[in-house]
Order: sequence, then C-alpha cells, then structure tokens
Amino acid sequence: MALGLLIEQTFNGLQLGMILFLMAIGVTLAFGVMNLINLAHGSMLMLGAYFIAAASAKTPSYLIAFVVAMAGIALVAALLEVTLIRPLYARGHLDQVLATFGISIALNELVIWIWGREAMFVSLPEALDGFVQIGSNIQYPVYRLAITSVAILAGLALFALLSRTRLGMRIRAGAEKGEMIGALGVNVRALFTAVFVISAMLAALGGVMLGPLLAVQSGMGDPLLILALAVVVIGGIGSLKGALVASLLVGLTDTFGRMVFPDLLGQLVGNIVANASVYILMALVIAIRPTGLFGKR
Amino acid sequence: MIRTTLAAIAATCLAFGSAGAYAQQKIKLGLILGLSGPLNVVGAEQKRGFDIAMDHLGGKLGGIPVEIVQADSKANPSATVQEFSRLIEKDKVDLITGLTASNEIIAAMKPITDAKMIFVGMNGGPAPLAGEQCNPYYFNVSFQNAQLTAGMGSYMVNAGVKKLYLIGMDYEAGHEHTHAARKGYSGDVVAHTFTPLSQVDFAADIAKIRASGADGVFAFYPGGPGIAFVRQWNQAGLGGKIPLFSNIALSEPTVFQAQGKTAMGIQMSAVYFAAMDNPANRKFVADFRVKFGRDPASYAGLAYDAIMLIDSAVRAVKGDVKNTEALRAALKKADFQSVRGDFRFNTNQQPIQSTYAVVVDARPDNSLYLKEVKVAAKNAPDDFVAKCPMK
Repeated sequence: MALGLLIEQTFNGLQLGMILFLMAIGVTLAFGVMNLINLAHGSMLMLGAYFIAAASAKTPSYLIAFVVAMAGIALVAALLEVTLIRPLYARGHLDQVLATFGISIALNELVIWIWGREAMFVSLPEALDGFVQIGSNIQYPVYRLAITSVAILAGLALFALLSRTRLGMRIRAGAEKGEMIGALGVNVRALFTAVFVISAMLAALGGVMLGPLLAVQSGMGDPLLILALAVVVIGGIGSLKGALVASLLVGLTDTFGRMVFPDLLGQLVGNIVANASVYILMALVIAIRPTGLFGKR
Repeated sequence: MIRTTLAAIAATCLAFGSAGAYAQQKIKLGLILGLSGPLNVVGAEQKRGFDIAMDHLGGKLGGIPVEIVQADSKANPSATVQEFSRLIEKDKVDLITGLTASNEIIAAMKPITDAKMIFVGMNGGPAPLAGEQCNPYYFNVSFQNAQLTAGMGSYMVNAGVKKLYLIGMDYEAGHEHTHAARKGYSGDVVAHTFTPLSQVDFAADIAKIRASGADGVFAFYPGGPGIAFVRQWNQAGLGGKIPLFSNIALSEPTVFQAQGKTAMGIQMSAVYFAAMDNPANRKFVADFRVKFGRDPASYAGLAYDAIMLIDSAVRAVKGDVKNTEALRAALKKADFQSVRGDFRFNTNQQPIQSTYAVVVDARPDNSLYLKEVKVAAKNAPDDFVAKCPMK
C-alpha cells in the first residue's frame, strides 16, 4: 500500500474523529454535569449548518457569516435551555429521552418550515478552496485539513476553559458533586445554561464546518449523533478524556475498516464488517470494560 | 338511535345508487405520497407534478370533478398499509395513485388485492412486482427500478471505461441499480461496494477509489447523500479527472441548488428529463417553471403522467369508475400524451419505454440542466416481464 494513501486515510480518520469529538463533548458534558441525556444534540449541528448557509447568503464575508451563525446558535441554545431543557433535569432519563427526541423532531420540522425541504447550498470559504500535494499523485483538500485544525483548537480551548478558569472549575465541580456547589452558593442554574450553550456551540461549529461537505437539510445531524453516542459509550459516559480518545479511535476504525476489510475478507463480507466496525469495537469495549475506556467504577 | 339508523339506511341507498352503471357526479381519488420521512424531498416533488396535472385538467378527471383525499405514507411500509386501509374503507376512494419508496409499493399490494382497488404507481417499481408477483390491480406508470439504469453498462464501455468502480447505498434500490449498471458492461470491475444509509462523509471511500486506479465510477446515491457525495468528489479533486456515472437519482433539479457547479459533467441514465422535446412535455415544463421557478425533476414528470393516464382511462369508461375491469382495460391502453413521448404498458403493466443518457450541463445564464447525450435503450421492456403470469 502506498504511503500517500496511508497518510491521506489517516487525515480522513482524524477529521471524522475530531468532528465526532465536537459532538461527543456536548453529549458527555450534559450527562456528566447535568445528568441529562440529550438526543436533541444532533439538531444543534444541523442548526449550525443552516445558520451558516443563511448568513453566508446575505454577506460576502465568511468571517461575518461565521460570527453571526455562532451567535445565533448561542441565543437559540440559551432559549432552549431556559424554556424546555431546564425542567428536565429533575426528571428521569426516560422522560429526558422522550422530551429531547421530541425537541429534535420539532427542530427538524422547523427548518423545513423556514427554509424548505430541499437542501441548502453552502460554498467553501475561498481562501480554503485548494489542495495540498501528498506524495506524487494525491491532492488533499485544504478545507478538510482546516476542519481538523479548527476542531483541535476548539478542543484545546475547551480544556483550557475547564482547567484554567473559574467557570471551568465550577463545571468540573458540578460534574463531581452537583449538590455541594449549589450549597456553596454557586448559581447552578446559570452554570447549567452555560454548559448547555457551550456544548451546543461546539456541535454547531461541527455543522458550520461540515456545511460545504454535506447536504444541509433537515435531520442531517442525526446520523452523526448516533456515532457520537457510540463514542461516548466507548469512552465512558461523562468522561471528556474518554470522549477524545474514543472519537479518534472511532474515526480511524471507520476509515481504515473501510479500506482494509473489503480487501481482506472479500467484497461481501468485508463490506458488512467495514460498515459495522464501529459497533463491533463498541461491543468489544463494553464486553471488556462495561463502563467504557475511561468510565468511573 | 333512530337518527343514526336512518342515516345508515340513507347511506346504504346512496351507495347502491352509485354502484349502478351510471356516470358518477364526482370521483374520489386517493393520493398517497411520502410527504414526511426520509424521502420527503421526492414526495414533495411528486406533489408538484400532480398539482400541475390537476391545473391542466381543470380539477377534473375525464371531465368529471374530482375530490382528492390525501395521505402521507412517510416512506414507511406499515404507515402505507394503514393509510391504504383508511383510503379504501373509511374514505371509500374510487382509485389510488402515488407512493414514493419501493418497499411501500410492496406493502400496498395486499390491501389493493383484497379490495380489488386499482393503484397507479408514480415512482420506481421493485423487481418482484414486475415478475412472478405482478398484480392485476397495480399499474406502474414510472419505471421498473432496473429499467432506470438500462443501457448504462454498454454506454460506459463506449465511453472508454476499462476499470469500473461501483459504489452505492446499502439497501434494495442501491443493490438493484448498481447491478443493473453491470449489465452490458464488458470491462473489469475493480470493486463493487456499498456504504450504510447513515454514512454522510465519503472521504475514505473516495480516497480508495482514487487509489484503485479506476477509470470510471458508477455511484448510486439519491437525495442528501448524493449531494454530499458529489460535492466531496469535487473537493477531492476528482471532478473532471475520473468520469462519474449514475442514474438520474444522483443529480437532478431538486438537488441542483445544493450541488451547484460540482454536478457539471455527471453522466446519467434517465427515463424522463425536462429537456425532452415533445408537445406534452413542453407544456408541462413551461407551466412548472412559471409556478416553481426551475425545471421539474423526473419525480414530477412521472407524477404528471400518472394523472394524465388516469384521466384518459376515466374518459374512456365515461366516468363509470366502479367498473373495475373496464377501468383496468382502459388504463392498459395507456391512451394519453406522455411527457416522455412514446409510452405503453407491457403485459405485466410495467412500462415499455426508452432510457436516455444525459449529462449535467449549464445554460448561458449558469443554471444547470440535463442535456441529452444519446438514447441508451430504445423502447425497452423490463427484465422481469417473462416471469409474470399475466398475459
């Protein structure tokens, strides 16, 4: 196998992994801090893509469109948290699953209502519309490298926020002993809103960046949410470190599975194994460590 | 109690009254489409074609006013069965048309057979219903699934493809269409692979295609995944380097806006495209453009044909739609002006029609359209008709 292809597929795997990481952070933070199972998280990615499509249709500057889209998501997420999500914290997980699933259906219909059923167009930012030469015959899109880099930066920013700031300290404390920080006078309500908004913005960042690659249409975040849930289970529910490791593991497994298994096992069986590789990995991890790679207890 | 009894008697009288050989005052047409669910873009386009047809007919079928009872099949077989039962038993429609997904059509066969209810299908029909399970009450006015890709194998050979890579979505239609593309193809096949329905990023597969040394790719991806595949194909720098083949599902007017220029040069097979030059189609396309501001996709053209077919049959039986056998005979004649030009039914009530090779091209104003390259298969039947017991 050519070295060029190996490098190219590694880039592809890392990119998929980092997008999943942006999604998985939100799922795992919501569970760790608020004890909330949030199936509406895929809709945040979708809204990010719709917002950048709508904003970039209005302004030629990608930067302005980007800021408008992210601000829009922050606003929507804050409204959603205060009105619909907040009452769910005190409820059981089944209620949360039903309610957040309902919210995602409602948001899927809402975008059809506003923007129509047909997919929207998002153009690439011009500066990133080029290729990097790998080896002799492979041109790798700059845009995909940019996605990976931005996702890594976003991840680093989040770790800095959690480990170096007061807000981060409170979030970590909330994840450990929720009742205690309330008793110590921290405004838990505002803290939860902040966590929800940060999570939504990270998912939306994924959507903003995927807009030019995927079909921007109703329900586009749902398949990625399913993979992100697999990531969270593999990494250990509630663990950020687990989410990072599992995201990269899933991204690389999926990409290299697709490349290797059909050659190894023949087209038919190889295809089936390649398509199921992430879930086979998940089953193996659960069998050996039921709480996931970095899960507690 | 007395009132309901009287109402029941009155209703019974009415029912018997209209069951006679008299022309009806009004026809009840059931229209069932996948308006919600994963194929809602297709369902909505079918509805647009239907609306233009009803406009052209002045809201009448065979000159008789129509009451339309609408239903949503949700691209879901069990919802389809429920809605068919409702249309037949509760709404008491005279005949039904529509449906979007192949698995819905299979699910609809039991209710229509039990009730002897005629159903005119507007979208691709699965192989079993053209072959051994052909059904006297099912008329498929659109295409048999494999028919949509007929002639692509030899077309790719003529285009100089020697090493073909086939890739498609891992479900019924993905398998049927990619296998149909291999019929008549004589070169090497370097891979024939399927990706899960939920996959949206094809970077890994595209890298593999490039590394395989293929000089032609046949890809079956309808709707959203089709948009993603085509855009990523171009972003990987393969657009214009390796020719991309498909059938009409990959790129047509419903996705042109989202694919933009990246769709240029894709070569596909089609049974209908907006640039077909015949009087019925010129009228249909002109009015569609006025109302919706773009070319109709094939789903709209085929829905339009379904209504025109029903109109011709209702006219032939002079509105006596309760006479199912007479209505069937009239439908079978297909005595209407199809937007596809030549059209007739085979003994299995599936179309005999031409398949064309088309390419995505741009007009001087930069809008995309489908340009005819050549006829890929002339007035061809489907591959399964010999297995159908109906003669």
